Amino acid sequence: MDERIFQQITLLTGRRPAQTLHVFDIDGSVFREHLLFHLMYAVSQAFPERERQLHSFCQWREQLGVGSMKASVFNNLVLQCADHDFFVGLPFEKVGEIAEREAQRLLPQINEFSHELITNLKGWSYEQHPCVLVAITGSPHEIVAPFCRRLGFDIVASVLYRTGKDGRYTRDRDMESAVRKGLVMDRIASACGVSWEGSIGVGDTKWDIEILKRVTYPIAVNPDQELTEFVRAFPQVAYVEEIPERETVRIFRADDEGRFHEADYEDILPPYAAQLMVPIRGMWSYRTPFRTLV
Amino acid sequence: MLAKEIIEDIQIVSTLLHTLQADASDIDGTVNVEQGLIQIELEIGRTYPERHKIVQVVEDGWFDYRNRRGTYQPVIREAVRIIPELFTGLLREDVKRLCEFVVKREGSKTYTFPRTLYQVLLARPQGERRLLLAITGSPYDIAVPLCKELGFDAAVGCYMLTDNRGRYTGERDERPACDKGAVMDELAEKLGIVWNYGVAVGDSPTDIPMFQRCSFRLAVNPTMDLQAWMRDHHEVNVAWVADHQKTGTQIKMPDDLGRYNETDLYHALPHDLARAFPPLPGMWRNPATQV
Repeated sequence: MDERIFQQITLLTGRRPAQTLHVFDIDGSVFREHLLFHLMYAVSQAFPERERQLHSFCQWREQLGVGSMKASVFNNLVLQCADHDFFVGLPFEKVGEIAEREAQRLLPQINEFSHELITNLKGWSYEQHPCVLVAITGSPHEIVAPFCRRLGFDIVASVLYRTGKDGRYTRDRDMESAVRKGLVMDRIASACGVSWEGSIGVGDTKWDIEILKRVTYPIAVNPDQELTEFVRAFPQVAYVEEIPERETVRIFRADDEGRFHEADYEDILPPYAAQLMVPIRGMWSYRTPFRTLV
Repeated sequence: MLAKEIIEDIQIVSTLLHTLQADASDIDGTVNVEQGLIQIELEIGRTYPERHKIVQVVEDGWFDYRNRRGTYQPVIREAVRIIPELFTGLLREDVKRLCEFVVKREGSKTYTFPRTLYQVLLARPQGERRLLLAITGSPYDIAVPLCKELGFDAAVGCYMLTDNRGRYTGERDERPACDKGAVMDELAEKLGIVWNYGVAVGDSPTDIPMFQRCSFRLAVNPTMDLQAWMRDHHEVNVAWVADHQKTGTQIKMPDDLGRYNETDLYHALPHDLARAFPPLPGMWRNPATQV
């Protein structure tokens, strides 16, 4: 596993023993879009030699917007572009600066449910409910680290694009946190000396199934169609539907037939976390009185 | 009173199809992701530089909304406010051409469920086929090409009056935007249109009169205000359709506590439509109704 993750764990466990780890995927689950895409977009604007890719990014985004391209195809294209040596040769320092700026700019674009949950979990004092927040994501460390740091995550496992002696990116990468999240989780748990008992796990694609299978309180936020099928088959996984355009959130649990029923915080979270969560607009428990339009 | 042009359109199509029974659907936000009025205003601002100053406030608000720095309500409020100033003096024929251009560009930004529903409604066999009418707050001149693209039989939009030279006067019939009930009642009275047993599709509180007049009610990605109304009036049984590119389509119906639970199409649509409806990604399939 990436040395930097071990350093984070050592630093953390040196300060206080970890008790409960809560795991979050970032892209789609916490951040509404794709951090990798935004980083690549910003980088291609800054480096004239990446102008050709910028043109493709604009086209894909347009196609995604009009519905002629599926979100999964869009994500695959973005990943393929990153795989296709997009970062190779670029100076680490400048990309890092761009990533810092982007992380700050994109911070408001996080899902309301995940934001409420993270704020709530971080709000407990260590003596009351000692917990550690872990982010496991397929986006590059340059952008994920500042993004997650601002949200209060303790451990960040992300894709590492390695650099050469000249400070420029090489072809060498550590992709483990993107494709083998279960393995990364096991290593983090064993390094911290804890189990996943009582943990919350949040994901949005089939790559997060390993996360959802391990934790006690699995939650799928705006899951893609493959994960939705998984949620229907495993009713212990909660389904959170968030529509940013309508500024609403709803929570569901599947029954034995795979049919979703509207639920509330206490149905999907540990009691200590559920009791302080504030209902979000659109939830059944929010119950906005109907306002007559003037 | 509805414009003669609109009444004649519906009269012709009802005669051709030999039916006065109709289904009603909103357009903007319900099937079309973009708002027709805003899009045509932005295009006018681009085409007529001298009028760009008027549109600026809508353009800025729209940009902020698209970049999630602002909300939708102030944008649409401004878009409605500037109508008289922006349109007065423009030639209707020129604006109609612009509308066709905008529809060509933006018309494909639609949700899957309503688009599929229209196809199923239009494919009903002769004798069961009903008129498919759009009742929208968008200007009539943009509603017509957009509805043509989506397959509607006729469109009722906000009709803007012209003078004898064919230029807009700035006056318009706003009822399709703010009082759809009055529009539906006028069509029933003048043409004998029957809404009962029809399907109504909407997304905002202005569509509530459609839900009250039709028997099968569907709210596609409803707005906050409509959601609250749907929960408080669960006895009206408005189906909640969640339609997203990522998660797919799900249909939910309310229980006695206003809580929404997933169901199949047989609880939300007439049985012939539910049977003919192709399965969409993400949709729950009831094992009991699967052949």
